[in-house]
Amino acid sequence: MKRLNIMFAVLIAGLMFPACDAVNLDDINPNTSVPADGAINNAASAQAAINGVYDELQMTTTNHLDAYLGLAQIYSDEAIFTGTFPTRFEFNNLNVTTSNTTNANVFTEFYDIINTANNVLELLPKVDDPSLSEGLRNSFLGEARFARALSYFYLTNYYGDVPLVLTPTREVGDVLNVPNNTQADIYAQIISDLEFAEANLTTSDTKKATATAASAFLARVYLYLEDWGNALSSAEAVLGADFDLTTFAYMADEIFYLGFTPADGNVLNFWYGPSELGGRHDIEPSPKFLTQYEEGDIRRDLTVDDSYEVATVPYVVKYDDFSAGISGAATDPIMLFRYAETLLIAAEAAAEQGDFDKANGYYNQVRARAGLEDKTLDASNFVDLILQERLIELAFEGAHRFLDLRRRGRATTEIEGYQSCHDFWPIPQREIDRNPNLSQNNCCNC
Amino acid sequence: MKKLLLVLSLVVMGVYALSAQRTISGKVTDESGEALIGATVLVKGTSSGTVTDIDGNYTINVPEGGNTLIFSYTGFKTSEVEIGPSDELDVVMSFDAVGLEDVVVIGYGSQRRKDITGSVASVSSESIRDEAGVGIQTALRGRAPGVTVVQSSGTPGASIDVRVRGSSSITASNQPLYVIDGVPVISGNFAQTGVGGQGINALADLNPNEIESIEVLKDASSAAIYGSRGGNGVVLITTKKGKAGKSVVSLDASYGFQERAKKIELINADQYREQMETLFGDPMALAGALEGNTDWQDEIFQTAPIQDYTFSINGGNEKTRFYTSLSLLDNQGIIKKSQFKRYSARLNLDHVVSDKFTIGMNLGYTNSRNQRIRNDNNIFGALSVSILWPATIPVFNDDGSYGGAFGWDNPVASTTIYENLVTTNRLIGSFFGKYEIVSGLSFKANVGVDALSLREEVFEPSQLQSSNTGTANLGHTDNLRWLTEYTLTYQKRFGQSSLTALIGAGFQVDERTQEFIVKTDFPTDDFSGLTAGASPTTVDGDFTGDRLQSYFANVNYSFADKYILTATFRTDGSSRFVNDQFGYFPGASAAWRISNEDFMSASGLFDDLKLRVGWGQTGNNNIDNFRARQLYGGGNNYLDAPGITPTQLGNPDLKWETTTQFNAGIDFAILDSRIFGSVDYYNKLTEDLLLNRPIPTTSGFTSVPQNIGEVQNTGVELSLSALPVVGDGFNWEFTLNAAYNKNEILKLYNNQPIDVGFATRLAEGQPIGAFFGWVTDGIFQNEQEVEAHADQPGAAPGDYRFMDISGGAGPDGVLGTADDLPPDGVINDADRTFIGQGLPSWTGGFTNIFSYKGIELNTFFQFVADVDIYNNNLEFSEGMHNVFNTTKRAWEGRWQQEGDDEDFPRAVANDPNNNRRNSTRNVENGAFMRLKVATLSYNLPKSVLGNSGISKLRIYVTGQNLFTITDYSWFDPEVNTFGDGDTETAPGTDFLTFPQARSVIFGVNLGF
Repeated sequence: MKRLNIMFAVLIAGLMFPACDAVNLDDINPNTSVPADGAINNAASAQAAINGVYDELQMTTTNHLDAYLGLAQIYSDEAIFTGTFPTRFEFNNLNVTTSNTTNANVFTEFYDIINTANNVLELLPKVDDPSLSEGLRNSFLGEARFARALSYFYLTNYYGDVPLVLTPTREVGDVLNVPNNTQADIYAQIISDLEFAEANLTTSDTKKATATAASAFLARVYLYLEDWGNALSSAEAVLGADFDLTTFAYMADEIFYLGFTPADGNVLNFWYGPSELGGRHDIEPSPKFLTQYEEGDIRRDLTVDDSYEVATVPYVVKYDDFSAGISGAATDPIMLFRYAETLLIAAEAAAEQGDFDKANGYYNQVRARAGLEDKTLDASNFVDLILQERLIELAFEGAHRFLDLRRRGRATTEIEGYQSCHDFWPIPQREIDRNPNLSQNNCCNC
Repeated sequence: MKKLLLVLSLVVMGVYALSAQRTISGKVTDESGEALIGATVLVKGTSSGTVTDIDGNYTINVPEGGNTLIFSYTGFKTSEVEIGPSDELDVVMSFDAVGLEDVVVIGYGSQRRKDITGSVASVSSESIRDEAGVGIQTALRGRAPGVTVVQSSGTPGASIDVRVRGSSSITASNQPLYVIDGVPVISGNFAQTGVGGQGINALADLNPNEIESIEVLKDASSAAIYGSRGGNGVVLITTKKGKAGKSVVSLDASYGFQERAKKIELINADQYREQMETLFGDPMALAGALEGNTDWQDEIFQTAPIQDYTFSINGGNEKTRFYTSLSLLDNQGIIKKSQFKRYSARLNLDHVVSDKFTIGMNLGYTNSRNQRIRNDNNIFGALSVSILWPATIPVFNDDGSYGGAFGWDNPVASTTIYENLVTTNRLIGSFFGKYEIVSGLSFKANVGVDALSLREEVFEPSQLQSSNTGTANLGHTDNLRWLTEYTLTYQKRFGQSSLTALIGAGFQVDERTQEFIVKTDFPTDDFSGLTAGASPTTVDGDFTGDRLQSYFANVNYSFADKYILTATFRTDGSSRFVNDQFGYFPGASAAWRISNEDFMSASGLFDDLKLRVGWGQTGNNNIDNFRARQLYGGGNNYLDAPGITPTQLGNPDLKWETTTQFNAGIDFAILDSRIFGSVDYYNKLTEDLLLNRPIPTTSGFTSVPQNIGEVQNTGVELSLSALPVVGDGFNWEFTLNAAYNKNEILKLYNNQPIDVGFATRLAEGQPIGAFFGWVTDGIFQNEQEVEAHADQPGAAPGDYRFMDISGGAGPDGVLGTADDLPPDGVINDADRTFIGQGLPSWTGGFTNIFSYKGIELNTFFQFVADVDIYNNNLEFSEGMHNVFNTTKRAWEGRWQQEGDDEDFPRAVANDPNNNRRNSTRNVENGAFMRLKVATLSYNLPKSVLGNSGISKLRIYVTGQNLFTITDYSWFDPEVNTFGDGDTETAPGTDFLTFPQARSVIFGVNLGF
């Protein structure tokens, strides 16, 4: 009997033992995350947080397609949608409903970048680490502000008057119900962020925000604001004296692009590529676009393949890492700023100011590289010619075509069925449902 | 378990028996003369007892003063027999259909059914033994009133949705807690490779053949003992245990065939070219130019075998008892390549160490192999493409390569060369020791383990569209859960009173690591191992886990078998919460057995009449482990340099979701227990919902977890059994289960609706699972009708006319409520309203058993009523706007000219009117009644078996899903595309989902 009691005691002790370390409910933590309040606390975590901002700029594989490229392309006369998703069809058909979830994802992704940047902007100045020099700290802050400016640029161009959020989200409540700010306010903030970035960025890596990229971005902003003087001076700050585009191959004149690696890649090849090359071919160059090339333009074969030799459909070849399949390992870059665009901005701004000598010089650099004869800009033709050149030069690289047509008031003539109510995409209904201070733009009064 | 507990306690007590005065022996049989093995024999007023042996014989020492023996046996009426002058006493026990004496497993103990005060449904192994199936959850279907089971698809081994008394949560889970022999088991889908829709189901690792009984604790007073995890009900599963006596060897074998029950009628190749011409002006456009003539559904469906074998031995003596079994299930799917195979082994062991000390273990091991195919919402899915691809595409091109179009995967390729094998190794065990400190007071320590290890290996050869150069995935999940529990139980009878009290403590730890690797660029398709791939595209791994501390107490008191009281309290602390870790869950219930009152028993009207009433609170903590914390996450890299970003806006004040439930019920048996049943009413209010409350995404986040919102479920459950014919030869037994549930979301954050799934909107005043969209009002026959109607962008003759319902949300800011603005002459988003309901109001089933001398016909019908299905298939296969193949009925019935029928709109490229939008067009009546199981069996009588050595031989044939009565147009009304759990608030949606099979199975049960 005694023996049994001892056995029993041993058994119970054995059973009790594992319970001891289970009693502590607080001693279990994730190993891929840290508490947000102490996340940025030295130079290494600051660098990681900046990398995080670029990661947000990359977005998820479908959202970067929609946000930077696809939606604006099928919305304009540049491309048509040939896929299956009803929400993207609505963009193709100029009938974007307020409940369109693809549209909502785009809106959300940009604010995700903004919150990440705002976190850096709040936490980084407080970091006390001797190895973090003031110069580096300010360059980091410049990268965060550049990313924030880029996000607001897309937001205000797609949606008009949007909420301006400049502090990181720490708690919930009415503080989140930010009202619409005017587009002028948004642009003022963009300019302020970019001027800081231009003055403080020290990197020279074209896969990251540089001072040159900030200048190129300012040139684009002033162009959109029709502030021709500043547009020209910012563009010329980028180009410097004696700039020669013909020393760069087509597409190799990048100022800033989002880079991808096989381990951190994209599937743009899949969205644009034909099924023969493993793609789903959701976005196809429009029949109209395919007629826009001049004879002998070397850019054609570097942009589209409508030879019908490889595929039974025309397709875009700017995203041609076809061997990557749909594994998300494609490394095709998303071009955000190129010298050619800055040249065309300079040309347009100079022409607006009546300086056609200068305008022709910049404009024909782009044509010369494309293997085309010079053309002469004058007061009557320069808008047409520069828009045409921008269409061809920057084809499928962004939202350029839609935004160019709109800012020049040509969307209604160039895009079938376009009315002024199509100028902005709807602010997602879910945002309006969630935020009582937010109102809709003019999207839905067609 | 039931009997075992009795036996154990008897054996323990038996040691105290004083010197015997007499020895009585005899045989216990049922009314047909069959021996009852393991029946309990007890001397009344003493603790002296024994059990009958393999031949039904017993021998018992009756102490001085003992003059009555009590015979009890599960499923039979307990009988008391006075000891006469003879030392021989044979007893014939009579069948007890009501089961008042049956022992019902409840949380941390058991009770006789007649003492139950709450609402507990039981399903026995007998009633499910012939239903070939993969999971234990299907066993509950239609057999436990108030338990709704929806098999999401026909995918072998895929998820099954179980709801106890409706849906009460929005963000946290609605699945009940599953407890196997005291171990709350891991459930969910741990595969990391998305296949489109149907996930895998950790509960499929459990073998129904090993189950003795299943109990569902439905009301809060019963489930409160499981506290924080009882909010969605608790399913208690008890596995088979050994019985003392001669070892019984059993072999159960079945083999059968499954086939598709229905085919969708699609257009042929010529009609497809006609579609191309109509849409794009060229019959040879796109796939129209291809020259195949393929019936894709015929290519992928097959008649699939299903086989199930279980070999078991149970036996033991008074000190040691065992049950051991070995099983194999091989279930091939009716879509080629899909297969679920499960090997399982079990050993359950009990041993009496001394008169005070018993130990035992229940140990089950499973190895399952799930060969998956891509499905549902996936352009590479086998069934998906079979429906949406035209007949013009050939299976193979002339050069031998797979035919293709649109960048989708050829269904034949998807069902031959796509490899996706998920192998799970699972060990679930409990080990206990029990010590009787003094008479009536015992201490029990229990250690439970659930170790799940899942490995998924996927290879996509380069011939698939989804992979240009070969892609291999390797996923691995290790989930170890263990718990230790200690309980102190006191049982005492004094006078007419009986008391059972229990206090306990428990600690549970759950830890999960997952890794996932993807590599691409393989030299050729002959290489599929990871090393052979050139480019690693994903290498991920992380850890998650939680801890739970619990303390609980329970008291049962009954007086004179008439008045029964139960009170329960539990507190749980969870690592998932930060500032408010502990929740408190009380419960109480009472029952009054009116039939035992003198005034009632005198009338003789009722054989049993019991009123039950109960109240209790239970919780739900089913959120991600670290969801309450504000986190900055790693892995957000740029150019392969490490990056961190804010990943989660936590909420340190988060706490349990709490459900308060009131239950009232009545149990009755009349006409000599020929008719009996019960009726229950419940009212369940869930508050402080763990809601991922949507927030303005200008915050950088889409939602934050908060305790906001209320959901109410009220309902009535009926269980009714009758024995219309009971005779010498022929018997007829009838059982009906029916339940009505009304679900309503009472409160959300600021009345803001939440959209989930394809067309589901969660909104105040609506049930969970309500569909939201436009309302069609016929088809425009001509230009005048278009003009006359409200401004509907893109509309032309032949398009749907959508109703102008509203001009926008009213003062409450929410669309679809009574104060909406009046119609404004424009058809836009404001004209959407609630158009259907994905959760059924009525569910149930009924069983008829006809038996005649060992021949039995058992039919089980399942029914669901007052429910809708959002048939998202129609958006594509009846969209008639693009390359998608079209159903025959839509193409032939499409509107073409003024005066045509208005069943289907015109075919037009790009669908400018958006005829395909979420509307009443896609909402169908989802009610159905189906013959779920019909079994014809023959149990050979002992006289035939003779001395062959075979003690039991039963042969049967079973048909499953033999027919279904429904208006639903697609494959199967029992469907749930979002059955995975992630979007379980969008029930009743169908999108290219693998349908259930119809099957015929032959089987044999052999005993030696």
